[in-house]
Amino acid sequence: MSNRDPDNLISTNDETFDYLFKIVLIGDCGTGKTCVVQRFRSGTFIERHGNTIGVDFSMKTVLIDDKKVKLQIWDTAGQERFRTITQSYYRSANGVVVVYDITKRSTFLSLQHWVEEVRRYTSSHVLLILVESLREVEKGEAEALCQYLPEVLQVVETSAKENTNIDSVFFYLASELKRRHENRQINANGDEVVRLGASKKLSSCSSCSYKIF
Amino acid sequence: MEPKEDEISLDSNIPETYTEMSTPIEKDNLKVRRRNVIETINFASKEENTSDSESNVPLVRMSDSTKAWYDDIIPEIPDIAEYSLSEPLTNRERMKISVIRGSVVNPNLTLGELKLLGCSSEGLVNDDIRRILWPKLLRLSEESNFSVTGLETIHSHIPNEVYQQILKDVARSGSHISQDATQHEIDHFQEQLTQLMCWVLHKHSVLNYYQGYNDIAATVLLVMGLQNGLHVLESISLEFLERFMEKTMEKVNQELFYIFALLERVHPTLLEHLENVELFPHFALAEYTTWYAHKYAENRKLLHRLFDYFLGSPPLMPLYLSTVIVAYRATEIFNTTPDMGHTHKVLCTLPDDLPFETLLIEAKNLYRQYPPESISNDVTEYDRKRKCKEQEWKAKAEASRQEREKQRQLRIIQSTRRIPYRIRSYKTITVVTILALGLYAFLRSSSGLN
Repeated sequence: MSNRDPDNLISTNDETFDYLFKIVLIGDCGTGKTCVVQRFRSGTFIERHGNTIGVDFSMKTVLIDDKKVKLQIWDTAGQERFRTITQSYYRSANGVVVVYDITKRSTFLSLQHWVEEVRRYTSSHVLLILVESLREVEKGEAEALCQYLPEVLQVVETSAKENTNIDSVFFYLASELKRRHENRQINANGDEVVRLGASKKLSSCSSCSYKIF
Repeated sequence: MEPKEDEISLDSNIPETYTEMSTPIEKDNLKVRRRNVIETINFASKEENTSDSESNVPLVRMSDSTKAWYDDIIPEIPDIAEYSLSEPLTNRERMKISVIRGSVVNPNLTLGELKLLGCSSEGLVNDDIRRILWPKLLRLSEESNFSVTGLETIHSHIPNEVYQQILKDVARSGSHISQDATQHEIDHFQEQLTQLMCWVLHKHSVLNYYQGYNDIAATVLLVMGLQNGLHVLESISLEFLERFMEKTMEKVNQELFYIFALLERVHPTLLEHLENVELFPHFALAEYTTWYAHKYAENRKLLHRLFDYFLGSPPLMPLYLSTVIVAYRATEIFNTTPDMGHTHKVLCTLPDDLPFETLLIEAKNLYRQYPPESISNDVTEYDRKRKCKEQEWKAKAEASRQEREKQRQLRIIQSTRRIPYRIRSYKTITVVTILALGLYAFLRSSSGLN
């Protein structure tokens, strides 16, 4: 029988890559995690997608500074009761994207809880990004929250429907992971200190040349 | 392919006397299902304040040798000419319909034979037949036909956070209705779906909503309609889905390992492969908890046929079907990039052209060959290993964080030590200088003497 993996069908020589990073998407129900992944992976917005049961996997390779960075993305179910299942997938994650819906306050209030979850199940090397899944609202509050969550690297406002900043989130994460990975290799003795919370604005990170692979 | 297991399982949360009154059954065949105490208490307290009659609930799983028809009513299956057909029937389907019509007129038809009609090739064929026979498979009494009122406000009786969750998932149940449905039709469907689920959840507060329940409910709604669907969904929930509706999903997480325990017997090399890529059987979670309604929402014909099968099978049957499907796709899995992600993805993505009729027979045979009791020890062992692994990862994450923290603290300590270190070096310089001066003075004085 033929190989039906849609990712493998898109690019046949997908086996070659320079870096491989694992990214996990978490956040409350209905905040748009699946839409974010879908938009990034295939460039489409699906109105009629169903809810995620358990975990979904997808993958995309991006080109950063002429290096192939392969991102393995695990999209998790938001409902509390699936936590016992989704927890297994935090393991060895290099990056975590916490998604919340700016128009629903409860999803914002859960952020603290999600970050706790990340603290508990991932290594401290993990990079954390907060994603506001709908834009056009002031983000002052989220930045204020980040003062209390030093792990959070960046807050990005996005819209999967209008395709705003979705790719940037993953490109930023990929280039940041790549940069740190290289630094770690150079300073093999662990001299490099990850300065959490002291990140730059996404717009000012222009040194890396983004290209969709 | 004849009906098997003559066991009767009895919901222990119903007082036993109550059960005995309602069904004359052989005492020695009773098999009490495990329930925890809290649920029993909840149920009891619930019973008192529920105005709805509880008599519609199927209290026991009946023996297959029980007569299929009760209340002295033999259902009438309409002739082929009367069906609302979206596409013409195949010859096999016509044949099956006449088999069903022929069997149903038998006043002594057993429940096992009725289940077999649903399980065997082509299932119950058509939604018009399902509307009549699903309630019979679930042994719903005629009373369940009385229409239920107050559905418009039923949502106000369930906890708001559950209701909000339901609304979110109902809004995402779009794949169950046709692409060209009007906005009005969509709204109507969503409203009914919400009412259907809220009614069951209100009536049985021990049942916790889970994402995926909406897929089962949508399928029931599409076949049965709202009023007739109420008791069908209620009955399915109590008899089959109750294991997914406990406080946590821990039980499901464990039961998924039936797939591994079965693969160990039917395809050990494939199991070895799956374990090597560190895969968990979570790929089958949606199949198991939604009876494939999450995956085949748009393939109604197949989906409804699968429901015919599961309604006539024991609750763990979906896991046997998952196993058979995984084994069938072995080559495809071996050809996939051997890592957890890719393998998970391939297993989650079911092709539309699986030979289901054959696979359903295989699943049934597998169930007969290795019934759940025969492999449950292995399942517990697999689950224990999973828990160990998870503990290990958790400890590793914790250790790595502590290590990181320690290094950070070390850096702080080192930077505060700078002054004492300098003092120490001053001392060295002073001592050396004094010694040098002393030596110089000694040399000078000794040369001065001469």
